[in-house]
Amino acid sequence: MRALLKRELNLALRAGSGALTGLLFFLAVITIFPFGIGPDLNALSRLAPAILWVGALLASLLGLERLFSQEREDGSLDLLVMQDHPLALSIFIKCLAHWLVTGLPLVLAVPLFGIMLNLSPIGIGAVMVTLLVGTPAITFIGAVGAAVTVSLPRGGLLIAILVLPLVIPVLIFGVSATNGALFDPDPFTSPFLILCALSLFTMVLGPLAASMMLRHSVE
Amino acid sequence: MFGKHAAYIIPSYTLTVLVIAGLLLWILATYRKRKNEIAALEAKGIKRGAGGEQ
Amino acid sequence: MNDVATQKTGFWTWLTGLANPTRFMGLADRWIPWLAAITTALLALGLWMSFNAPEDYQQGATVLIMFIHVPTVWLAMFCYLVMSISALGTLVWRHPLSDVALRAAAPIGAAFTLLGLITGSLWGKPMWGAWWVWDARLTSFLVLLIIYLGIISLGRALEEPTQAAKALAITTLVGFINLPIIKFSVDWFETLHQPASVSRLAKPAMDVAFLYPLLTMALAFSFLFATLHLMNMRNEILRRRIRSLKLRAAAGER
Repeated sequence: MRALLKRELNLALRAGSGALTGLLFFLAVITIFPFGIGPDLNALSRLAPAILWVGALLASLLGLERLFSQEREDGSLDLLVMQDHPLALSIFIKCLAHWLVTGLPLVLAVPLFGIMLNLSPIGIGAVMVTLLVGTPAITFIGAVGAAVTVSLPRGGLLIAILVLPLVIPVLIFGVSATNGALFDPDPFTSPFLILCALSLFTMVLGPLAASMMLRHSVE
Repeated sequence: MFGKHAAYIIPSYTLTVLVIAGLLLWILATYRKRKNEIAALEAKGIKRGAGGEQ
Repeated sequence: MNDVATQKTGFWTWLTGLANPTRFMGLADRWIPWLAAITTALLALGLWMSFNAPEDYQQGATVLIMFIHVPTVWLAMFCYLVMSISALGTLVWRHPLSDVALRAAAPIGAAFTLLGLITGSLWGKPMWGAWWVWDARLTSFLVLLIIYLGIISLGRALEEPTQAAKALAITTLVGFINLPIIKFSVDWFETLHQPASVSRLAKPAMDVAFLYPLLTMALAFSFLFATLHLMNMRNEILRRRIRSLKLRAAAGER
């Protein structure tokens, strides 16, 4: 399994522009919002958790296309399905590699973007932690969308539309937990725990549903 | 007749009728179009297989 | 005991027999006129009952909107339930008509959801002063519309029929989680939307003067759904026939 993970990571990193594009898109979203909202620092800092979360969410969604793009391009989808280890496990490893390359950078960029939005250190910490726990859920749910559209060469936008309704709860609890950390009466722990639960839940269901779909698309 | 809420009641019913009628007309029009297309294809001598295919 | 056994087999045999598209078309052609007639009659009755209902103490005449809003919402969700069962039919039993049923239902469900949103908005403004609020039930109902449109888009994008069927089925089932959220969000989260007053098991909290027209309209809309669904299933089967005829023509010309 470790060998598979290493291989996936190499592939993902070599595929190159994916990780960087996601990061740049995140930056673009963060940059545009102040133009829309106005330079009022108070307003920005109050909206910053939501802006950061929406930006990271959109960047993740648009990157989902790359999950199986390698396999589709060189036709090795059949090989992936016919391996000895369970397909769901392979997909789980792929998602993990994908998240490490596209999701983790988003989390690491939060301190810089948070400062741009005048977010307090506690807020930055809260957003980082919630994104760290929440972005894997987006990847795992996204795997189902990617598997379903695997035969479409430009299915990126369609994946985003299909997956968006399903990741709304992740967004809700992520922002809710962050606001809980920032503002006194709101709780942090309960939304955060629900977020963890969502990630664990999708960690199992996502690869399973995706494997079911891939298996049938190869038959 | 509906008092002050007519401005809400009338659009509700009108829009409902329009949407449902639109849906119905779309389904009927598609039905007719496809029936004609099949007739045209079969007239050109393209026959279906025995037993009907999906 | 024997009777029940043969009855059960009889139904399943009939259902499997329907897998033959020609047989289904015949059945649809026979049933649709009747369903349409019943729909029209029920709609006429329902509308008559609605317009003769007294004015509600709080709502005034806007209760008339409720008589369409509630049925459209119920049907929007019922349609998704039908699609989900069809999805299971595709994945578990591989019944060939399941995919036809799913694809045919989607646009109808989307239309009902759209109507539910519009009538809800038009009812909400005079009643509670807002065209829209981002509470749990309204938001999850809007999400239902997005899910419907996503499924329709996916259906149009995927060409190859067998793979498309699996993809649509899985997508539909994954989206099914939204239905309990819509239903129970009113109980879970304090919202502006009024809590359930019809489905209380003991006794509906609604006065019969309003309950009967509402139920009649709901029944009318159900038959409307059945009629439109069968009609669209016919269309879907025709679409596949055209596709295979064209493929056959292209192959023959080589």
